Amino acid sequence: MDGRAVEQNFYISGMTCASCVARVEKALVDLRGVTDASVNLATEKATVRGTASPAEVIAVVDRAGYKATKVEDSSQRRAPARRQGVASWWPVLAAALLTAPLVAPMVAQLFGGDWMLPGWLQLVLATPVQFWLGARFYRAGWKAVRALSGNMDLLVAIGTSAAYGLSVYLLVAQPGHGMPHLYFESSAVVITLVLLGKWLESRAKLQTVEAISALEALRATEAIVRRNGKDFVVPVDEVCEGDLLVVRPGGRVPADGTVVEGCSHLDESLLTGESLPVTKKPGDRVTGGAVNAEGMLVVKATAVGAATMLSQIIKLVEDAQAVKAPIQRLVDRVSAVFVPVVLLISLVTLAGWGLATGDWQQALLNAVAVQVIACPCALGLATPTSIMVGTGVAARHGILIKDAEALETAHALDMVVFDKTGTLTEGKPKVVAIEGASPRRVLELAWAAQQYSDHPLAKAVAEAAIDQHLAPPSAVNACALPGRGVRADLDGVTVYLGNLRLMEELGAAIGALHQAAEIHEDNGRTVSYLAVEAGGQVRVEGLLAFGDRIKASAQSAVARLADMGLTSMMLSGDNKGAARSVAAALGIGHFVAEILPADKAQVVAETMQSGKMVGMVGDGINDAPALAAADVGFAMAGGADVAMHTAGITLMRGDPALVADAIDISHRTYRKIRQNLGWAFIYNAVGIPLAAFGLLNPMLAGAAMALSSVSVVGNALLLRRWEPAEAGKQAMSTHGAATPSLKGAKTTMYELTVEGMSCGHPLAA
Amino acid sequence: MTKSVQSLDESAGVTVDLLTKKVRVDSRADIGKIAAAIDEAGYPVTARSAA
Repeated sequence: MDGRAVEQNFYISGMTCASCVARVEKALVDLRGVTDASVNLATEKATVRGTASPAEVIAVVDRAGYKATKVEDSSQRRAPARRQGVASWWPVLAAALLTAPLVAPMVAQLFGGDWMLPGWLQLVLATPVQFWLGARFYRAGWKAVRALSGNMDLLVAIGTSAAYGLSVYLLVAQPGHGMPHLYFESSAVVITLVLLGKWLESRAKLQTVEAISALEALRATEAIVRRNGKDFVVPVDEVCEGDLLVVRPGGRVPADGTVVEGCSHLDESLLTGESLPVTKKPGDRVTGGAVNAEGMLVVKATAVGAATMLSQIIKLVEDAQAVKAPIQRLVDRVSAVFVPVVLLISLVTLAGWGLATGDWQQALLNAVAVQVIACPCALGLATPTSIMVGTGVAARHGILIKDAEALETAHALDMVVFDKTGTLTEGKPKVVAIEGASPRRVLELAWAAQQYSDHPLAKAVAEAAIDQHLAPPSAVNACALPGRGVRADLDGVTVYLGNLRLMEELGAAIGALHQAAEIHEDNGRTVSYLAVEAGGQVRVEGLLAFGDRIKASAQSAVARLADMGLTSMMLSGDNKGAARSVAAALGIGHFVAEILPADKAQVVAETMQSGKMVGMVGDGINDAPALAAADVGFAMAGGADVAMHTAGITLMRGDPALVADAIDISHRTYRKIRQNLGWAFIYNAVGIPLAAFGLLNPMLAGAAMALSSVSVVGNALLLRRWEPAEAGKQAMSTHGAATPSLKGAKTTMYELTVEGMSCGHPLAA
Repeated sequence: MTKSVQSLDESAGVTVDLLTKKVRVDSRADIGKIAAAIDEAGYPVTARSAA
């Protein structure tokens, strides 16, 4: 390694419980050059940060008694999990078959039968269970002893050995005195049940990673590449940026790109959670993994391999599952002392019972029960399994949670701050009115001023100008005035297009246009003024009013947040009238209008200072600082990548309803974590004393322990049933005159492809 | 086609593009019902989406 601090991932095999996690973590952190290490029992993976080389990491893990393998790249990350995921079933069956004859006489005894097997036969049946099928407990326990620590396997090994050893002693020491009471069935049943529990647990654990498997299944394996007019089928790894990819009907888009030819619908449901297919035409961006419907598309690849959206989503979900939730650190501290404490309690039980009653046989059995019932695995699995299932199910519905911390914070939010444009509104404004002495001239100058801008308002101006068949303008020295507008030189004059703030700064009088502007603003439209500077005089020539459509689900999203006890707030760079109109339509009580991009973070920070937990929802580059400043940032995908990187939670659709869904899944995941941890703590806190006071026999204790981890994982898996709330979709428009039928009507825009239209008839049909 | 959609919602806006075989409908009615109405009018709907 060249001394640079890097993050590396390792597969760790041989871990069985929270104590193992603590031990591997301790060994890694103690290694020179490692700054941070985090081990996840559910994914059996370690993330190591620092300058230590992979060989050093592998060696130190080996000394701790486990096996580490370096995870090479993200696409291979899951492969070992699938191979190692499910423990084989045959040891469970073999143990059960050997144990059944030992248990059957005990059951028969309850009904008055006497089928007690001879002692030597019991020994023959119990020995393979103890030392062959149960060998893994000795091996794992021995590793723990060598590393001067303890784990669940050690407890099982000591406990069952004690019962087995006692039985052998009784059999050998008391020959001829009739049939001594033996405890072979106890040791065999405990081992069988623990094996069964481990097997069930490994099956359940595998289901917790199914969200990632589902995403990985979206990767195309082959791509059709068009080179020099000919189509070749190549493995997807050989696709390069800039390649032309042919996507046939029913095929999968192999990489991210832009459509250059063809029209079709793409099913992106597994990537975005959007259930309806999305129309794609030349110029539209497509995401690798989407399924093509009826048409053929030619796509120019813009991102391949690890750079694709799909790879990044998978990495994000995996990283979220690898990072420890803050609550897990507490659990790890408890686990570190858990096994030694249990061994101590077990010794006290043995000594206490033995000295008090003189019945050392019973004392030993009680001590065994203590060791067997103690279950550090339930503690170790409680948090990671809940987080994996929670983040997994959220990803399936288009909500990507970057880390467990975002998940933990999101459930405690008091307030959600929305950026208006592109978040609550569609961010695709249209010119709905032009006021001034010569509207055509106003539009012409406006187009000239912002022809190089890619601001949504600039696009709206260009669209309107092209609609009116204006000639392309030829402005020079065009520049943006952030938060105010644009400026350009044209035919010897300087043209300004911007908001009221810009006009005030220029000292330009609005005059008679003031009234028209007020009416537009009251109708929720955004107003831009056009001013011309000539001969040192700045004169306002006219104004353009833009209308934007409020997103269909925005109102119900805000209402749902209110139902959940969260206050909503809106930030907008627009004028007060436009902001007020949108806020009123959506039922948002607080809003800040005419805000500069740089001040958004400031507003968020001030709100946080008042003691509130604040979530910020935005989509643009200019929202990134505010997203980072908030307790939890929600980035709407489709917006800027930088927004996605700074936000804790990424919403794969531009649907504000996902904010409430994300907070909801966070609530539910945290409830599961608390339930699981509570259950694991109570189980141990009740079970251990019961066993110590001699109220549990070792077999019951074994069954309880096997059930406890299975129930923790099973409870976490219940989260998979989570479905986002079905919101009543409502559309509103501030387009006003341009779309008169929409105003106030609660309608939704649909696009249908219809066959059989050959002439103009259908229009009138 | 416009009539069939407007029989469900008389204020619905319908725009038909014969070239691309696309129909844009702006309506408060359910997309399933709209598609069924167009189907019934004799024009099979092959794809639908929220625009």
